[in-house]
Amino acid sequence: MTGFAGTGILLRQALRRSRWLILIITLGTWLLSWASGVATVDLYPTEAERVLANAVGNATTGVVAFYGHVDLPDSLGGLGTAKLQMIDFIVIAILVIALVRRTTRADEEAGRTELLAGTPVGRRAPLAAAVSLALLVSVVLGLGSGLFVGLSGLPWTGAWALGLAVTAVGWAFTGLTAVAVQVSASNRICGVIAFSVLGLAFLLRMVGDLRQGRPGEFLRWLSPLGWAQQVRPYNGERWWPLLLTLGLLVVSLLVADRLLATRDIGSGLLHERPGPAHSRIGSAYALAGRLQRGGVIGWALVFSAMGLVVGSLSGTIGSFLTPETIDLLRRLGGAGDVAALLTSVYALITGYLAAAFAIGAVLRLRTEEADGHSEQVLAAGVGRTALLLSHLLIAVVGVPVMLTLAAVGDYLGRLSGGEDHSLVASLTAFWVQIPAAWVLAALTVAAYALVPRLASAIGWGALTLAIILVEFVGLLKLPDWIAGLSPFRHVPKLPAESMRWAPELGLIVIGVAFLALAFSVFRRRDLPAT
Amino acid sequence: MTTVIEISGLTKNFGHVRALDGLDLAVHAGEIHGFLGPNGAGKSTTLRILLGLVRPSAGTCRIFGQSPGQAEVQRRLAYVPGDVSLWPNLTGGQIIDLLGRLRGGLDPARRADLLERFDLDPTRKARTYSKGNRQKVALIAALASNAELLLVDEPTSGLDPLMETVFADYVRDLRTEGCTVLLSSHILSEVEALADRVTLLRAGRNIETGSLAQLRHLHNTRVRAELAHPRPGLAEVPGIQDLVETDGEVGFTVATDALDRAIAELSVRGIRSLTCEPVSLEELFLAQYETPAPATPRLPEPSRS
Ligand SMILES: Nc1ncnc2c1ncn2[C@@H]1O[C@H](COP(=O)(O)OP(=O)(O)OP(=O)(O)O)[C@@H](O)[C@H]1O
Ligand SMILES: [Mg+2]
Repeated sequence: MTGFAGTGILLRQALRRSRWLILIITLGTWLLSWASGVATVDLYPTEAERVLANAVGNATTGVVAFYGHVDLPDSLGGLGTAKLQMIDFIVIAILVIALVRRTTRADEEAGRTELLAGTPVGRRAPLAAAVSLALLVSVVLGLGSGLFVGLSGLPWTGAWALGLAVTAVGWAFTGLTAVAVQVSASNRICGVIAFSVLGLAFLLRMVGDLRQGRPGEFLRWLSPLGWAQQVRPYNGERWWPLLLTLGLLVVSLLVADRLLATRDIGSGLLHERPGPAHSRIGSAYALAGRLQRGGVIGWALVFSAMGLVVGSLSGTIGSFLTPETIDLLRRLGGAGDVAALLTSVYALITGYLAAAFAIGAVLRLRTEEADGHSEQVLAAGVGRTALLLSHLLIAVVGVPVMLTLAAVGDYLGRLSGGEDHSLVASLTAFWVQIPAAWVLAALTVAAYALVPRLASAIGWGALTLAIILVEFVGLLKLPDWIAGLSPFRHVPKLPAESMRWAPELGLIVIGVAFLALAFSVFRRRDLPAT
Repeated sequence: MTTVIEISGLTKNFGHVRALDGLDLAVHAGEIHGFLGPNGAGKSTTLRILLGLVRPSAGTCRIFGQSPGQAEVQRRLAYVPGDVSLWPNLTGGQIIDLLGRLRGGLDPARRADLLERFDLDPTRKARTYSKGNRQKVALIAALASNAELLLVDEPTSGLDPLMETVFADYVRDLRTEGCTVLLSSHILSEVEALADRVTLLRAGRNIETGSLAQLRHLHNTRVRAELAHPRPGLAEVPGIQDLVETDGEVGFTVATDALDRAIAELSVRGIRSLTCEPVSLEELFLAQYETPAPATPRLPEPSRS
């Protein structure tokens, strides 16, 4: 085999470029693994409590849908690690998709690959470097997670099974993304394909789990996420499903390599079609709308689906609502009756998603500037305030719209499950998340105006921190004022709690202050920033 | 004669790098003004300041008599960036319309005419254009607007010679319509073919300004003569350089203000034949590039205490 010359150099280069992304996500996952292990040990000290928790989990459709079954009733890892492993699976999949795309198609589109073509670097080298990096990161992140689960006090066999399962997901999606980058007409389309495959894999696994013991269970075997889950950490470990992943990796790498030999650098096997020769876009706002259209539609689908799934699954706890289970669920997070509790937990998660949407929307300002597009828009007479507003508005208006979609989905889902539930209750539970998501978007805009190069790190970092502070406040035994740095900490847990206006208005005031700062700084700075 | 762009003492520091160092520039209404200088001289930075994208560190800059970056100023100008970067998912036609509309509308007839003259397919996604075609999109968007002032940064980079001519013809047409053009370039022939006046820029400072004729005039003349009575002494005449003497023939270059004196010295020696020609602008230009540049200006590091 030839064409690999220079792979080592490219690998080092790719590692250097993504080192922060890799480092932050890896450390975050390890911390989460350790914390979940500790929490599981703390939460269910006795076997009776474990059996009960696992039974409640298995009977709750929402839990099964997201995290799967725990078949060993007295498993210590059980519910706690089932949750952890599914989160790890998704994180590693997203990470390797990003890494492979970055080092292949993104570089091609930026013309960097072409620059290399004039050097002795082999044709296969960029893909080989991307794949090696993703495989390596999967091993480090996966086995590291296993290590930390073991260190947290859970048995080691399960810990290593979990670590290998996470690695396996990374390897599977490395292979699949390697194929996707060959096929797609552009890096953006490649992202759409890769994430659709991830969504499909999750869906197949989910339906398979919900149909456990009934026809349809086999669907989980069509999903790489299902294979990894069937390694069954803390659930009667077995190792042969790992071979399925290995097989998928080998086959997809061979396919990717064959496709690479036939495709042209810079384009995929599917070609770009001609588009309209005219356009009606005539303002900065219309332009921002057009640029973000695809993303907004995608997010809208995610929010609607999320609401529907959550709504149709949350009501089915049934006969398990004994006083002990309720007490247990309370210990998992908060006050109120169980149904209300679940609603507020799901609404909070949707709030995180809304913040992610908003941060992504305003960060478009940064890429537009870095790509040299903002320069042309400003030169064409658009004011700086309008430019900033154009993308900001998508976030500001988008957040309530997305949360409304989720709330309506939740309501319809509950109706279809025969539950007696009011639309207002759904709407208010999701709407209370709006100010927290706004504040994070406003912070990101301020970061963009002040230190554009760090805007993305600050925005995503702030969201990660905001989530960790809420989710791990009890575990990490943080003082209240530190936990209070997370905007989500101040959101009233509707419908379990009653509405409190003061913190919500406070968040809005802080958001406005960030925006005032952003607008005054942005008017004065150089563009593109130095 | 009204002045459209008036820059004096313009200075810009990027951190410790001084990109502009006391630039003076005046562009009159209705002229094509060539803005010439080697890589890194500060041409693009000047244009960015004129657009209000970059804030000057010192000096004044007026455009249409106002400070740069204001909406009403922006609407009267059109800009072609040096590094054309298009939205990859929009088609060429969409981008042309978009930039035109942002500016307050563009002339559909002109748009159609330009598309035809530049031979550009407006239905292709920007991602799939060649370099020259991307450049054409930016050019058409700027040329099809009814702007009074055109700021173009190396407009023909990537264009084939045929398209360069199309561009040059169009710019000349625009001038007859009264449009003012500031044309930044480091290709002399392009500027020579189009510009009424030229500003030569080096290390953030203008070193020459004037019409090409004036610039030539300011500089040396090459003289070659056949003499009946050659004798020594020419080398001592002030202003004469690069003297070469071979049996009866002499050649030298001479500064414009010393030409008279030099010819007098020759006629004493009995001129048999004489050719005088201005040093070509190309040579002049290269000479400017070659003379050792003042070391890249750096600001003193802030003292750390
Ligand atoms: N954003 C920036 N940050 C730091 N230095 C900069 C920045 N922009 C320009 N410079 C520096 O300022 C100087 C002038 O750059 P400028 O782009 O204006 O040159 P130019 O005359 O357009 O050159 P070219 O012919 O190569 O396009 C260069 O030394 C450049 O490195
Ligand atoms: Mg330049």
